[in-house]
Amino acid sequence: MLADLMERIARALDPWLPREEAARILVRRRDTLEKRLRRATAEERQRVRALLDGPAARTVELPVELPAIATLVNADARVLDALRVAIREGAVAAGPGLLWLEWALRRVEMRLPEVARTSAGSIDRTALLAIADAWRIGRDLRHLNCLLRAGDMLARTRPRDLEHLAITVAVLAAATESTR
Amino acid sequence: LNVVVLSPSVRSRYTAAVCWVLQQEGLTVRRVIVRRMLQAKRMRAEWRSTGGKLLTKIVRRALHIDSSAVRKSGESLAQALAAWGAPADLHEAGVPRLLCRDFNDVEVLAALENDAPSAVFFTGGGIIRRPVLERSGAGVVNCHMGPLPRYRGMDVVEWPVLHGEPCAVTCHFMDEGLDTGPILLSRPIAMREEDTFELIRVRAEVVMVNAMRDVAAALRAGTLEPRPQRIEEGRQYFRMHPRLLERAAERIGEIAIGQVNRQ
Repeated sequence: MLADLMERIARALDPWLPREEAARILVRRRDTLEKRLRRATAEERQRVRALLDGPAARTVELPVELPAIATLVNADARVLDALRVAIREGAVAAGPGLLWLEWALRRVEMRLPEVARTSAGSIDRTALLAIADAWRIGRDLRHLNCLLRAGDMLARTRPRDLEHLAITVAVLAAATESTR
Repeated sequence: LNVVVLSPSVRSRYTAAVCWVLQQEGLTVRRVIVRRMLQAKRMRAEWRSTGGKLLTKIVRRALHIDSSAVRKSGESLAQALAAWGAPADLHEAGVPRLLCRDFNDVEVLAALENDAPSAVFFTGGGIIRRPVLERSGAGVVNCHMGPLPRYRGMDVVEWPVLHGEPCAVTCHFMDEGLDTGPILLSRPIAMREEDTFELIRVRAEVVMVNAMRDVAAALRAGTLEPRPQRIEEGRQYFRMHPRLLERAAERIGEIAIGQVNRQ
């Protein structure tokens, strides 16, 4: 699973992020994640696998598997519904979906400066993953910008748990995916 | 016509320049309301947004330090002020000042009620809430450093360039949204092939002052025609990641050539 992901990232030489820089961060995070996974419980492994196989780590665009993430982050069901709409409609069209996606972007962006000085756990991970999907679908540079900034923040902070590591890998994967 | 100016600092050259052009256009600046720089609440907010660069920012602002590239360009606001024979900051301008912790404080509202300005000119310093907007005559005029309605928010010099579009400043009346108030006028920022974003921003400041001058003239002549924005016409932008910033910088030359060709 992780090897596949790394291989895909390595192939996706993205014009927006130098391959070696992305690879350096990703390798470091992947190694830590693998070590931690070996000591993890079956349930923890399953949750991380749901993330890594989920929307942010795959090349397919839809459908988005938010329920797995919902369980993971204990997010409000209404928020998740809205985000699901945002992902399906917002990135490609105007209307309520777009507004929800804007909300998700603002939510993450506003937290980033603070997160840089505290912990990655403060980022709204559901919103971040929605942005990762939106970048794949809509190619809005604001979404890529958000992923790059969030990736920086996450990579800089000390990995505190498996989910955090998985999110880091998934977000960086989305940011490094080819735009072509 | 009486106006009030809102300022982020007594050392703000931009505020001094705006006050000066307003006076040149025959408006009376009744008062400059200045937000105190050294206060815990503001420091916390600034720390959240700028982090480790906070100290540099304060020192640069307080001492008016320009980089050597800016000094060499001969296009800075400081140099424009000197050329105009205008005061370099509010200390020199001699306009009555009111220091406040926040623009939405009670004493600011009282001052606005007392002054009953025809309009308020905003030169930075924080969020404005409805009670201030309601006491500002025709409205609170702000000059945004980017082209509205398309580019709202932050780094609005860099984002248009990344998208291959030219830079511009836009004067607008403020409302409770972020850069969503009615547009008054827009002015292009000239770009050159060898430009950097630092130089474009420096040049933009002078364009902003002149745009404020034009708003003042229109206000005096009664010819202001605010054009409401539709939310869907633009998007909010955030701080740009260094990687994208490099990409944007690479596009400056091509946009500058495009500007020249259009002329």
